[in-house]
Amino acid sequence: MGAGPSRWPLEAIGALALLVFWQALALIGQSRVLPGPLAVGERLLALATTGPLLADLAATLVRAGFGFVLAMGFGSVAGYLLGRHPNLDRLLQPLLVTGLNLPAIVIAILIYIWLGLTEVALVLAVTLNKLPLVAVTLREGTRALSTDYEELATALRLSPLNRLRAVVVPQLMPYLLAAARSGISLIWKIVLVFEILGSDRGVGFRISLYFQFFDVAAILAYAALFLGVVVLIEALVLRPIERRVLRWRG
Amino acid sequence: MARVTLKTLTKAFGGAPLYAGLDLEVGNGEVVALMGRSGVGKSTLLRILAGIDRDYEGSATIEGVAAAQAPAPGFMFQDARLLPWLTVAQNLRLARPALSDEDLETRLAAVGLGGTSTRFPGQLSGGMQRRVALARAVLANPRLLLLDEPFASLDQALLEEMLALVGRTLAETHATAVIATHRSVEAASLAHRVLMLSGRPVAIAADIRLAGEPGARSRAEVDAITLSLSKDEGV
Ligand SMILES: Nc1ncnc2c1ncn2[C@@H]1O[C@H](COP(=O)(O)OP(=O)(O)O)[C@@H](O)[C@H]1O
Ligand SMILES: [Mg+2]
Repeated sequence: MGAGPSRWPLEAIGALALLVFWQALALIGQSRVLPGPLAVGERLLALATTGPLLADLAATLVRAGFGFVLAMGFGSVAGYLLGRHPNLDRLLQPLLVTGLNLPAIVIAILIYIWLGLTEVALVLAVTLNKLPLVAVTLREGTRALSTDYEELATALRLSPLNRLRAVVVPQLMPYLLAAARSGISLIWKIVLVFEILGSDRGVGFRISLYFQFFDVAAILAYAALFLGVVVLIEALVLRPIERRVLRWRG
Repeated sequence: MARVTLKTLTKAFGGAPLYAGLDLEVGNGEVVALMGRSGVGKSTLLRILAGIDRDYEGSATIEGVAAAQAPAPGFMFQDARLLPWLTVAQNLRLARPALSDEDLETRLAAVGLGGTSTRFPGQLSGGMQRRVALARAVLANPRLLLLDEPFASLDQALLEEMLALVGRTLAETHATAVIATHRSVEAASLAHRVLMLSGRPVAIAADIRLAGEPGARSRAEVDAITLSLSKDEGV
């Protein structure tokens, strides 16, 4: 229970060191394009209270959220079907390879051209970028499903729904979590890029605007806030879910 | 209480056939012990009767219904086969969802596992897991009980308890049962009839009707039958 230095999480020390290093750089540089953490913090506060920051954040979160849920939902079902049906997998292999390797920016531009610079187009572009990765991950998970447990389900005459709930989904859970984890970090990045390309609000759009004024403090304020939200979602949503569903592993 | 019929059962795993036109009839409420050396084909037969293995020719029926379409038998795999992500209680309820908490606890106590309902299988020893599997097999009072070496790896004291438990269950439910086993004492304690399997393709080398009702046999009678079965195993 002692409050000795060994009780300090190393992560906190690392974060603090990063901030100190950044502040030191800013002090040495003394430049408008290299503001320190204190200046950025001030700017963050101002943008949040009187500026568009919270509205931008909300717009981006909604877009990322929709893209995430759609990609996870459709990607999981697609991956499961691919894992179950080898012929379907072979048939769709070219489509999957295309989806996996087409640069995100190309997908976005094409969809903007076809559907216009709309909210739907943006979410669709995000979804399509993430979906193939989810599908591939879940396909692997489905291929690894144990036939032993399948046999048990047959012996017990479980209904298809119970079979899915009690036998299949728990085995896919590690794969779903892995897909969610990589999904969140990918979607954060591409949603901003797509906002720069074709939107009039959101974190990405605003950062590109500040770029034109070389307003580095504002850019870093947005980035810092965004980073904070990602870390929070990871800690408050993803980790607890992970702990709960993997509890049986002790 | 379900008649089991195999007609010209034929099956191969590539290479020499395992069964080539095997016929077998198990009457209502009859308890049959399936004996024979490891690899002879006991587990495969049970898996066909349970509707798990559907890749065979000929017919396997339970009360005239194809095994795969018949209601869930009470089945115990050769391994415990509990779902590791479900608690003991959740594992049991897969076989009988409506079971009350009290009844579930009673069933667990009957296999010597009272108070373990909220544990995960990974927190139990191998022997405890197999006892949960046994409890699961008999939980729904099935009309057909298929047990694959249910008493393997139990020590002497536990063996007697589990033998008594299965014996009671069989007597109470009048279930038809096919039990694969290595040990003569299990057959002598539980069975009306013993089938000795041997060869490839499998033949029924001996079909022995044991004297008396299994539940009514005295200790001495069980011992005598055990001894004579041990001699027959060489067949
Ligand atoms: N999945 C399988 N693939 C190939 N051969 C198998 C398979 N399952 C069983 N066999 C073969 O069938 C024979 C009978 O196996 P099994 O029914 O498990 O015997 P037992 O339960 O009497 O030990 C064995 O010789 C084994 O080699
Ligand atoms: Mg076996």
